[in-house]
Amino acid sequence: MIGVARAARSFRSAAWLGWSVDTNWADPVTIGTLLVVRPLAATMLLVLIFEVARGTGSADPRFAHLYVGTAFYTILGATLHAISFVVMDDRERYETIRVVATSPVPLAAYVAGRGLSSLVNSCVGAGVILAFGSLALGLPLRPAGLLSPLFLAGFGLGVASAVGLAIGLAGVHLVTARHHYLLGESVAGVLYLLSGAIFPIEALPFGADRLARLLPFTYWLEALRRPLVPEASACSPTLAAISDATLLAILAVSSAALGAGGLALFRACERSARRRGILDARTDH
Amino acid sequence: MHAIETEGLRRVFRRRRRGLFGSREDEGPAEVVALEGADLVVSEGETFGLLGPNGAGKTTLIKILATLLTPSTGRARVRGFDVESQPLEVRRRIALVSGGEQAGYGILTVREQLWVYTQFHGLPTREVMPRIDAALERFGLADRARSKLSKLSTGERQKMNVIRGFLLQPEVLILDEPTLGLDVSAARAVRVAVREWVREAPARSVLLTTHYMTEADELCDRVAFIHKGRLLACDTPDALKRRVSDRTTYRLETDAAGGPSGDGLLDGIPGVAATASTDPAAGRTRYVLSLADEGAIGEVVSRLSAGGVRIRSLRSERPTLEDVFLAATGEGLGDGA
Repeated sequence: MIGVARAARSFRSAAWLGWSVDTNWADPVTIGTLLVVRPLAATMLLVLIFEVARGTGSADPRFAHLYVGTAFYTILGATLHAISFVVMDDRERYETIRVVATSPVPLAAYVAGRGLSSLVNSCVGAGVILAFGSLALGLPLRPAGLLSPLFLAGFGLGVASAVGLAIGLAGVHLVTARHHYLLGESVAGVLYLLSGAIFPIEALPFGADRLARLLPFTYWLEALRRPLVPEASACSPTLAAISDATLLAILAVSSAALGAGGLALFRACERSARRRGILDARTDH
Repeated sequence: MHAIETEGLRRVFRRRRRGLFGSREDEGPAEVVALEGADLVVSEGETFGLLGPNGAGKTTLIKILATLLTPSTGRARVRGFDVESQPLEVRRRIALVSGGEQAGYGILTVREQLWVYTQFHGLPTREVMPRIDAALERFGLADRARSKLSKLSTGERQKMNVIRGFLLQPEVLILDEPTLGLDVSAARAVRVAVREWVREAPARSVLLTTHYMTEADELCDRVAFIHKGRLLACDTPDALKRRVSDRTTYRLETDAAGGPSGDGLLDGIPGVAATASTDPAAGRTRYVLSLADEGAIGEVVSRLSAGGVRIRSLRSERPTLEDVFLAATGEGLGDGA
């Protein structure tokens, strides 16, 4: 019990630290504004492209598919970047990783805690995007869906798998030089395409749809879209054919696999970094 | 139980060769032996100094003990826990502070930063806050408690990191050049704090690396020299210095005593070899005395006084730890790679 309490204390302080660092350069109003403006601007760009390309408006289920997918994808993108980048930040900039690595706090737990504020911020941003879509763009959003078991369970599982993958990427950062700092964003970019955030997975070329079927994020986005905008779900016949229970089961299994894999990768990389003596080595080249 | 124990500790760094045509990393040897069979025991309650030039292997040894690096072969234990198989137990018992360390988040205040560090060790906030304030007071940083780290000077940041080491209440405090770059008073405050900290609880131990020989002499119960990855001499500072010379040297200056050997005033004192030189212009005679028994200096002074010679100055010259290192390796402490 003492160990759990200590770990919880360490995690909380890491989360507080993450929030302090994330918001270090601006006052709360500016941060709040940016939290809203940045994701909204990115989504609006996509909306504009869609409108120009299709000209069918917000009634088109493909619009809802793209809009909702993009809104929730921002959580994935932010989580992958924020958590994985903690290693670079603390090693290269703040030089605190040595202090953390010689303390009893598990490094993976610290990294996750430090990235927590970005995750929460991105959830707020996703909420803002959805609210804007519903109020300003006529997105046929069903707010009751937010409380559906499919949405709640799916959201939790998806976030857990995103954190698991991000921890794995943070592990890769432990053994790579600082010029690989875009790893999190790069992986997030690939997942943007493969997880069906914009296109239904059936539209993916070169057999990439098979890869998409292996990703928990594909099922995650479907589990979030279905209760909120059921019409959008029909855009992907493959996913639409899966029942809610099966969808959650697949999501649970794939999330557990990704989470466990991410953690295993982190631990392997941490062992490698300690073996090579590079855990706290700044890369000046 | 020993605070630290290493057996045949060896660490080899291998250079990585990459690319079809090699790379610039091909330059230099394929592997570097940073530590070669180090056997070391630091006892409970002991302040142990590790001295050696740059590149001698001090930091490698410290990184292994702090679980930041694994040994190639051999074993290392801290408070009985193996650094490889029980790293978490080791981390619960140590704190590592390195000189020149600038770690910290610029946005946090000094107080906040120290609190964050204590949280990584799971220490309750209610207990640590008064300790943080007391430590800041002791190191002269109380007025900077609410300053952001980004506003601190280099020395102040280093002091804050030294405070961190004490705050975590480790059983073994590892100090890697802790006073490097600190001003005289700050360095003194660190030395005093180390001494008092060890005295407060009998189980506390310190492993100290330093370039400052006087610091090691002042603080350490025992010191070991490390050179090219090998641990050389290891003993108390006094015992090590006796290895270089078992005689004590005194330099003595008097009013001119007439002859080149003070008119034979010092002849025949058992265990005393004296050479003297007179500077007629300054009206001084300077003696260099080599004493087999330090107690013989009393007889020297008596004879000179009885001969009516006025003593202007008297000082002893003992071998320093640097002399010991020089004798052991043939190189000065600053000669390392």
